[in-house]
Amino acid sequence: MKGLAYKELKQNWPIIVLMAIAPGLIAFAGGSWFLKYVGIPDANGNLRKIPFMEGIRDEQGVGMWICFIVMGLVCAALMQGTVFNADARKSWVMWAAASPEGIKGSIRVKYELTLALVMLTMFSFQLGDYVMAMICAAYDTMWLGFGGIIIMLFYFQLLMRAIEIPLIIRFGVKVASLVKCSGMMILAFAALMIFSFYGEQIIEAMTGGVPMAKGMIVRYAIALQPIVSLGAFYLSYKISCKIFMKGAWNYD
Amino acid sequence: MTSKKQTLIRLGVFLLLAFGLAMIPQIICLAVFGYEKWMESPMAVVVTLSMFAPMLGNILTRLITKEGWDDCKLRLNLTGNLRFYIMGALIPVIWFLISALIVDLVHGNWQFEGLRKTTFSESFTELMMNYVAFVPYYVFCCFGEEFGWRAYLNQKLETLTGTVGAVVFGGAIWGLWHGILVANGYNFGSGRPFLSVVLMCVSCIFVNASAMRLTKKTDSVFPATLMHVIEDISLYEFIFRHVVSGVSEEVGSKATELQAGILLLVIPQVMVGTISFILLLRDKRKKPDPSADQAVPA
Repeated sequence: MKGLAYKELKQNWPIIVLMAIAPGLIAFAGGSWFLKYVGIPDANGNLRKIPFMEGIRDEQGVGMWICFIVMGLVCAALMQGTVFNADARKSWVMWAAASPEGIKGSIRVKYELTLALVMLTMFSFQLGDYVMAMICAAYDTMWLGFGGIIIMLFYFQLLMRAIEIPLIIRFGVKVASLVKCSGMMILAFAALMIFSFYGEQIIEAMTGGVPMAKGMIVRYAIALQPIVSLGAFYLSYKISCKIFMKGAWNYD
Repeated sequence: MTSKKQTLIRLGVFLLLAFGLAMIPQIICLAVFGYEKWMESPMAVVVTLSMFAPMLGNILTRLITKEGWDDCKLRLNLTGNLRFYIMGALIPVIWFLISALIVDLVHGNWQFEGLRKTTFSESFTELMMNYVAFVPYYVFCCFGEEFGWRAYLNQKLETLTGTVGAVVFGGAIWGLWHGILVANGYNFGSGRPFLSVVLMCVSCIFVNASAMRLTKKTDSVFPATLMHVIEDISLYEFIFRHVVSGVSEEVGSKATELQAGILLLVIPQVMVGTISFILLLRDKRKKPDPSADQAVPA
């Protein structure tokens, strides 16, 4: 097992280092740079540049920062996927099956590394959030803080990996990417529909502004997110172990 | 070089790194901002970041002394050990329940108004959204400490001083590591720096007993990490709100931070830690002597 862990660390160390820095950097430094130097289109279609300190108070500015957090998340997701992509080869599967740890050991190390990477992404975002807070404090301005959103995105990311990994294992990288893209589009559409109907309730339930009974479904949905995501991740591991050999015949 | 001397050198390097990496930034922040301003400013993140110093100490010591990576205790070892993970999560809950019940015993009215006023849905969603959801973030930080103290310091101390020595010295070192913060008001309030550090050491010795037992039983640092996380997510607020009732505002306002620290941390941790310590010694006695297996039959 130690050998497998060593192999994964050796193979993926650039991703680990990137994961510790890149998501937070993209989200907050990228967001600040974009607002200040590129700007957001206003009602007349002209680009409105927002200096850093004003961006915090600007509703559109905050929205743009959230977009950059999602962009950081997408980049992180692309990097996390490579943990499994790199070994989607028939020869590796045969070797892994013949190793003393067997298929289970090999997959378990990869799942553990993926979980660590997802946590590292969250930590990178939190660190970026802290740095922004420090900069704001230096200018006597209050930083909003995106801690709650970051935690929610962490569970979302875990759920995505739980769905994506068995697909990569069973159908290979190409088919899995196709299925993932289609799934993401359906999910984005569903999220848009849900948000357009329950958007206010979701935000109010997160900030505690909605009466308990009224926002109970939304509150339960958010509250159960950790259980669902972690459960799905464990289930995903179990499924992956079962379909590992079947999937190997689709690899190059 | 004898192995005892080698272990001592490794331990020295580890302690130098774990204390230095944590304390130098803390001293700088304290000198620049002063304790109160520092804790209120976003620079308080230095406290969170210094939790990684023992982890870096472990990694760097292994690299510097070319010790290798044996006995890192990084495997989850979930199979057959799930009960120890559950125990790790429950130990802090027991601490907070004990202190909440003590408050009720001394000042409260045993009506448990908090429990009766809130519905299951309200309490459950609050627990999940405000506390449990944040566990993964804290796992990352607390792992930084546990990977240093439990996966390195305790192991080295145990070879030098035995299990009892590892619990006592390991805990005391862990308590001293918090020295700068505690002496300035963290956990026990300001004004009595020496007493605060001593109390922190006492608290850490007994928590170390619980953490060390979990680590030894599972051969993994993660149950101890989970215990540390549940302590750090401020679950006591939730438990106190639900369990404590009938305490007048006057009593609350009169209580000093020192009293609160002793009630919330020291008393329950000593109680639970003593049980863990007894169990740890019992486990040690139960463990068969490895030399007996190697004995050549007559």
